Amino acid sequence: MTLQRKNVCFSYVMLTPLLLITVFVLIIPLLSAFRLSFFQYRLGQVDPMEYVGTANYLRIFRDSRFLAAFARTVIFMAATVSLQMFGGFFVALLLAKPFPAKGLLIAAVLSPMAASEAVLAVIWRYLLNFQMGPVNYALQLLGMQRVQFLTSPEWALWSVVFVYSWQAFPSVFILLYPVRLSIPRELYEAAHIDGSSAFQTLRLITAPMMRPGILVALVFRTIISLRTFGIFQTLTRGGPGRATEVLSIFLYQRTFAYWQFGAGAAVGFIMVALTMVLASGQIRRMHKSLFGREAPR
Amino acid sequence: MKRLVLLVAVILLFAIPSFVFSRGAAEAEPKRLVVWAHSVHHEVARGLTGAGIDVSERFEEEFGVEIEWITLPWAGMQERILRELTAPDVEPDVVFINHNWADRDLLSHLAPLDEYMNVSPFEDPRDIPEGLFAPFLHDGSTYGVPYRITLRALHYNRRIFDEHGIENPPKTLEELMEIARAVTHTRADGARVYGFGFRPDQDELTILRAFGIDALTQDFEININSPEAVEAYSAARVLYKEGVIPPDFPALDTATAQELIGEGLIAMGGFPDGYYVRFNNPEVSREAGNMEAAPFPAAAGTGLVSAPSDSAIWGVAIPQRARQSTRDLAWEFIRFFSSKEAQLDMALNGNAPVRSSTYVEDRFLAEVPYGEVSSQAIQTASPALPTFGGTAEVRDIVREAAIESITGDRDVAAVLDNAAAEIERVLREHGIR
Repeated sequence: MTLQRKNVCFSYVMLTPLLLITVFVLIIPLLSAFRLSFFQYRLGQVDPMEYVGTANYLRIFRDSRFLAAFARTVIFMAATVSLQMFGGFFVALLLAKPFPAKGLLIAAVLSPMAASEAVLAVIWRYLLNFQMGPVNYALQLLGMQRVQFLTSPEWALWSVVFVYSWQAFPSVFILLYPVRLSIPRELYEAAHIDGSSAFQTLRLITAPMMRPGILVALVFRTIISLRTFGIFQTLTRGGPGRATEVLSIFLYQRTFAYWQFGAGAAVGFIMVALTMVLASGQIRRMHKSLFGREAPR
Repeated sequence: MKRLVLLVAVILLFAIPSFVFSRGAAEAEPKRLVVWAHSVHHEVARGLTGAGIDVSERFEEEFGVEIEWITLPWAGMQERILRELTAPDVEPDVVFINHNWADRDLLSHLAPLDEYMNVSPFEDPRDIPEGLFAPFLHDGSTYGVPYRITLRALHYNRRIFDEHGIENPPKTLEELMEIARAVTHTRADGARVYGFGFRPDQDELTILRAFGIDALTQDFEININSPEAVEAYSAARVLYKEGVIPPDFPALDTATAQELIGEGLIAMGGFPDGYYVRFNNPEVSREAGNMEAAPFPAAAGTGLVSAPSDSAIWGVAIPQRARQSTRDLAWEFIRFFSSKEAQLDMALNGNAPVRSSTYVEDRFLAEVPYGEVSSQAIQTASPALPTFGGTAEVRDIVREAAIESITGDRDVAAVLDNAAAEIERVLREHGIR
């Protein structure tokens, strides 16, 4: 056996535990959930599981509640990803400049990451409470009307968008800040000598140089925003009415309130498919941006 | 052949003593009964609250058994119990079941109790209202015996009533609405006080019952779009538009409503009877000492004295696959804890008893200030929705319809017709239609 062949064998031996864990923890449950999506099954049901083919999927696509949840998910994702990306990008640009107490400001920007999502959501639920929340109290003191941030269909989704974006934009910042710092200073000096305006510098130097980092952040935040659950469950539980029922809440309701495991699995796979469609386009773009060619299929 | 005989002899030589010793060891072990319950069941049985009477210990002494209470948190309790009941080896000998879970599938994982009830019946079964057994019946068999019930009452703020010259709590729903209007006001500090704390996930069914109907009856008759339901939600819409019901009512949950009552910002609300203690606890309520309870009134003309209480009922049951060796003991547990004496002692510990006789006991009435209200409520108490695989979905549909009817501008009848069609779909999906 040649040394190279030995090395290959050794690599496979070393990879085996990880592969086994992946198979047992990820692949098998995923396949089993996929199989479940073709059955009608409730937890504890006496009758045997009934094979229903694609009926779960067809029923879901005909369900107006699902379609509304789907639309809300897309709106939520588009709004939060935009806010996170713009927020993270511009704060990264701002903090890349030298000024006093910069470290303190960076710590403040990153502070939402220090607490868990659930804790932050509980705090925001209190802050935005209609009857007893400090925000509404302040509005009243200023002579303004109280606002039903979390309890009116008009406001609730946008309030969750705001809270989620506030909580999540530091993770974009933490990705983009080092990327911005890694841009050679000479490029900016050259641009300055050539008389470039601030906007031209941003458009022609900063943005292109940061593009790979921006695309990585975009892929991550899109995937994570799509499956957001905790903040909805804590702030509004999908309400008032169904005003903030997104796909993850819809899935939770089907599976753990109505115990329709087959239908719940089908919703889960629709979400996986949606994630794959959205992420694959972005990943291809990212690959092209990094290596100058399309990713191999 | 000789070898085979020798081998069998050697095996027997080792096997027989080990079998004998293991039997002996098992017999020497104290008898143990594993009970899966919510912490509140454990607390009232052990006397960890209220009067501190340890009913559980009395059972242990009487039957020479050790009860192992396994308490499960409410969140996820149904799933945990369902999974356990369907597992090949079931750990609990006794399980506590909420009536909302008791559909055909769950009941089929429980042992029918009819034979036990015939051979060794529990004390005075007629003392427990028939309606409380209904969720635990299937195909003519009984699968659970009621242990605890949550009754609903109208809680009102006596101080606010006095300030507005109102002497008595409302006797009819119409009076409730008038009083709610009269006591709604803005305090000197700018805070708004609402007359009635309507909650969409609690009161939407109670208000229908006040008009003498159920959204979906136990026989699966759909009434959500009946004229009474239209009248009920139309009346609530008027209160909402007048600002008598809090504007954030679509999301008003129990915890928030409790806080508002404690702050004196809600004058009346329908809550479980036992909430009297919380509302009058100075550690959590600024209105402690001001809160009183009355039966939740029914609409005039319905012929009802009060709205039938939508009740959460906990039953005790034996899993179908529980150990055979402890089944008789498990039945004794059920008999013991459903007895008049145990129910009274646990009621003094803070349990909501299921026996009518407990509610007229002097000791109970002396200790429980809202006892008379509960005593009236238990007579007509029953779950507001039938238990089947789609109960949770039906409840959601009714809640959504109530919210849209009360806060929206659409015709109430049209909203409720739509809800009726949705409920019909759920019934079809679950094979009931």
